[in-house]
Amino acid sequence: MTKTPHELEFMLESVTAGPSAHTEQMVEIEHEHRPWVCGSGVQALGIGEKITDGVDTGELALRVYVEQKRPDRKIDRPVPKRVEGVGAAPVATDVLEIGRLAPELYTGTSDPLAAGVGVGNPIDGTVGTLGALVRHRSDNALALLSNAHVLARDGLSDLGEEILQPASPDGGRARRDRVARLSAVQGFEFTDVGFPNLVDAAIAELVGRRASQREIRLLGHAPTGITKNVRRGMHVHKVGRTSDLTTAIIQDVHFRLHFPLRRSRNRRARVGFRDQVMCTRFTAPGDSGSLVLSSTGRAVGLHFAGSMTASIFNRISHVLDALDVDLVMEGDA
Amino acid sequence: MTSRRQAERALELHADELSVYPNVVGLGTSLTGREDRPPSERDHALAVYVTEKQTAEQLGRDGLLPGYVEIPGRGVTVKVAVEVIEIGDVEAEHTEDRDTGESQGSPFAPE
Repeated sequence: MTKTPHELEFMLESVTAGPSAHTEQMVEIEHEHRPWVCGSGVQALGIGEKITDGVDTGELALRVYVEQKRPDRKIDRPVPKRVEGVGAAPVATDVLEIGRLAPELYTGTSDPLAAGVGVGNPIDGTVGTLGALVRHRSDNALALLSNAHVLARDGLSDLGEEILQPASPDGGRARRDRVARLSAVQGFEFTDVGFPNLVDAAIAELVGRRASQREIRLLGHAPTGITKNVRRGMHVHKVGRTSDLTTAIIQDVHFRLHFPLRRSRNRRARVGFRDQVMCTRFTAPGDSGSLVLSSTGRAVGLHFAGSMTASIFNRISHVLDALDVDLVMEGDA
Repeated sequence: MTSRRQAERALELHADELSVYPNVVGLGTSLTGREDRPPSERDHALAVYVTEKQTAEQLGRDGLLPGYVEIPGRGVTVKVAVEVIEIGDVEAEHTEDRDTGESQGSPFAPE
């Protein structure tokens, strides 16, 4: 029997639902299908007309996109011909070969320089994201905002160190791609217990001839303001060097965490942060430093850490106050 | 019912002692109970984020997180539930690789 798109959407959500699935029904279906959905060759799922021998059958099916089609006997967990949902009739599957999916990293040169692209300090060869353009409150000097662990080697840098765009792992080269010099860093307080730190942030003053633009890449606008109003369930988005434009839902607005950062060249030590915001995972390695925005475009935070299931950001007001800067916003001269 | 303020107070008073338990990477507050209920009808709790949930046997008696913590109320002691939430290892999210495709979804690499 032909399924409706709505029924198939439910089935699709069911087989891909994570640990926070919406209903018990979905949890049951997800549990049943997890073995083949997590199989080594499955890259993506979708909905579309089933195609048999190159002919569109007109029957809607659950599409399973794989890197390469292989005989069932060579696969540990083959895709079933049909999948069954709780209280729903079976749905046909259609396996389609699409090659290997890979993230499309933004590794190019941004000219003019825009937030949302990769930047880094070539001394340790790391790359994160340029979060925003800021102006120093004392002299109005224009600077790039990102994390201390991106621009300032976990706070170990000397002021004046050069910042590249693209960063060295993305092909950036000293001098040719120098866009800024480290101008201020909020150092970390290392403690065995407690959560004394509020931000992981640094700025680098613009140098060189490359022009800059206030608009964030992919968004086409600068932050429209800042807001301290951050609440559980709120939707946020960011543009990062690795995962581009993605959205998340805030889970915890009282988040405290600790993890190790470099205290010296050869030693890492515990850094505890308080008053952070945790949301569903919407970032990937290389997105550190991304500006986090509300659905109305107001800046709420600076992304800096994550885990398998969560992304974590500093509150933007703490970041701006710690570095004595203001964001360059929509409508600024 | 445990209010948001009581959960925040519990976090303030107990974060340091709970942060030294095995596998604990973060603390915060959470809403417990059925997700289809409005927040006003749900209890707040002290959230303890761990890299991985383990059995009581694996953790041993000293490693087992308490089921609740106590905060002083008006003449009484108030119990605030502790909710343990698994989030994996937490790390800074920079990278040193040009291609981070392999690290996405894997137990954490720096971003």
